[in-house]
Amino acid sequence: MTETKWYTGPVYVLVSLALVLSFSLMPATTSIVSAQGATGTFTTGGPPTVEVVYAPASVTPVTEMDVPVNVTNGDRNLSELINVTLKFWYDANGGVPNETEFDNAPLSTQDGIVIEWTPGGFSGLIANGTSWGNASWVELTCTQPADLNVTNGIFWFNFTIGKVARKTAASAIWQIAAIATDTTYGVGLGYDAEGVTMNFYSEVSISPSNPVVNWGVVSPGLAFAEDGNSEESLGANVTYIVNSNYTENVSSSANWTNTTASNATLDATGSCGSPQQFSLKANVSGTLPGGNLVDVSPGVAIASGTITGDGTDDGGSGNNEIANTLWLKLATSFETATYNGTITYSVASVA
Amino acid sequence: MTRTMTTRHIGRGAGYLAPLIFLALLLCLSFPTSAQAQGLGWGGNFDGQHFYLLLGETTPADADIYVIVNNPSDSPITVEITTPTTPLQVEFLLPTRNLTLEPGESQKLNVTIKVGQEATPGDYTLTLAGEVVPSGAGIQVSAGGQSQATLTILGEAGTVIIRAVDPEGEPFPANIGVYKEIAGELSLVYPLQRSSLETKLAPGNYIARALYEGVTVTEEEFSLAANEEKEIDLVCYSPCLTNFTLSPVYSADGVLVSARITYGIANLLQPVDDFTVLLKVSVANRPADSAELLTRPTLGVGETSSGDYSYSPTQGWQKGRTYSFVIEFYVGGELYYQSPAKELTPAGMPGGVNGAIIGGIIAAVVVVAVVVYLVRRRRPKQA
Repeated sequence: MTETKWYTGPVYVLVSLALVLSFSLMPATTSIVSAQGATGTFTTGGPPTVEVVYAPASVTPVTEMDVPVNVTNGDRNLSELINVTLKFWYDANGGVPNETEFDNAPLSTQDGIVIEWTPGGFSGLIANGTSWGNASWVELTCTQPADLNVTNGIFWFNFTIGKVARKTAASAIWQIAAIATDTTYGVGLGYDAEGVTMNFYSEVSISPSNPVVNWGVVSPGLAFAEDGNSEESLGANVTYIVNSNYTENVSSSANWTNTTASNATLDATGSCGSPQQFSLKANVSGTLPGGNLVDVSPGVAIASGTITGDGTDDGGSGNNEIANTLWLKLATSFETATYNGTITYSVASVA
Repeated sequence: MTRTMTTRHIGRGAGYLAPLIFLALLLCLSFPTSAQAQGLGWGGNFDGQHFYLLLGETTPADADIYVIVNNPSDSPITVEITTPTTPLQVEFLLPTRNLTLEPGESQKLNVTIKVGQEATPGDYTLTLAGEVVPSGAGIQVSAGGQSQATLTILGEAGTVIIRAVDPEGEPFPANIGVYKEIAGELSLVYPLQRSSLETKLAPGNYIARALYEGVTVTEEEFSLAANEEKEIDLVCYSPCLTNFTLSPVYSADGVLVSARITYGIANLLQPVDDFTVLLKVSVANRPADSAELLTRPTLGVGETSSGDYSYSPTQGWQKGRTYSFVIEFYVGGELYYQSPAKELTPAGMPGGVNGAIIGGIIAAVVVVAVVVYLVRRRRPKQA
């Protein structure tokens, strides 16, 4: 049996011809292009690159944030961008955001805001998704790169955090993320890898200001009693704005002073067994059975609530308590005087 | 009615002038007509923190602990800062305890906590409170704010640094918690921190856990001695194994029938292509079996999978030999993750009775029988 070598047969001839043709045609093609003198520019594909790095680990309502969004538009100028959009939102689960989460980020005074830059400038801060009702969120001085005819620059998003930006707990964080959109090459997303935690914030307002609780003239041995001399309406509205679950606390100064007699001393047990002792009960309504004995600071909780608004169209108008009532009890031995003291309405955060 | 009762008791406290004594708490019969509100804004990162400090120790200067005090009203306010629940030998170092704020003005007060050498170790609640100082006389109503934190004073402690890292050692965006078993349940002893955590802890046994979007990515038990400094890297994988348990299944007469393996998988960060999960079994350290638990062309972000698998060796269980079970993840055919092994050693006898015990009893009976036999042989026969 004779073995036929492949390089001696017809296959060899065909392969050789193909190689010769290939080598002869390739330079020809090149020369054709070259002869045409084709010139021009092109841009590399790919969406813009967006970097967001925000250093503080936690932030607090009513304080300022200045977020740098560093955009590189490939080898194209920033002037080709359609928009650069920052979102800052509450994420109960934490983690890192993706484009879907960015697109679906909540907009509300409690849970998230957006600020958009377009070639015309910054949009203004939007917290409710439809209009400029941002409650206590305030857009400050946002700035774009001085020169947009370069490929890279930092857009600064500057704003004050709203009063009811939801406090974070456990795994929750506020995500800080931005997208940049190029006219041709689409959307790039960047985010701060850590996000930030939102600290507690509360606000207690008393209207009218400087109210005074006036029991008038009462007698030693005064007992807690509904609708009697013991009961006094606060005579003021107390409004709560809080970014977390909370309790409404009432406390009293430990001593009520005067200029002519001994100080009165708070007895938080309510027994008033010693001379010059007084006790207080407080409730958010005029019902004594639901009242709680008042203690010194941090006080006693008389009601509880969940995150409550900051006074504008989509933020709600806070929790307005209009029927706060106090009851006074006195020891049987009590010196005549006009007493001065303080009763404080405050808020404590509840985890 | 009230005044009548008062008169009856007055003699005990106010002396012979009692019947004439009336108490004027305040005679301010009208409230200010101004509709202006007095208010106080209060916040910051002090609230909810848990501080661990040794006797004689102070929070670090760079700890950045603070409260924010804000005046939301339309006139200036003076705010008094108090620390009402401070335990003995603990001191708050504050830049001021009295500040005046213009309308709309905020101030940040840095907070330092100092524990004296004579303090008593234990857990305490710390309170920082602020209240608007009233401007008039009488029983004034004031707006206030307060924040509370926990202080654990340690008599002795070690220091632990815990990081969440990916398999390449880069930071992994997980939350880190330190847990301790108290009364049979795991309790979080230090608030969750992002990616890394450093704290002092009392000597003891703890669990460091990395969590991502509620999923326990990994955890590690550790113990800490007094003055010990320990660094722990929690290596986090994505996809990760969220659950892996092994339970022997016995027949009614106590014979090992199978091993039940339950597992859970979660993909956290990026989509993963060509993903396969294998269960591998080895006997006495030699590979024995392999089973495919899951295979996916693509595992999306946030996707989870769980299930169970019943394993029985084709040639039956080999008593007294150790079976090791591991779960492995393969991405694109490459091994990405291998779980710690879980082991099962079939007992030597059915019914769950240990063969060694039975053997011991038999041996003891034989020995006793031999001894009795020998004793009887050596005893001289009675004439």
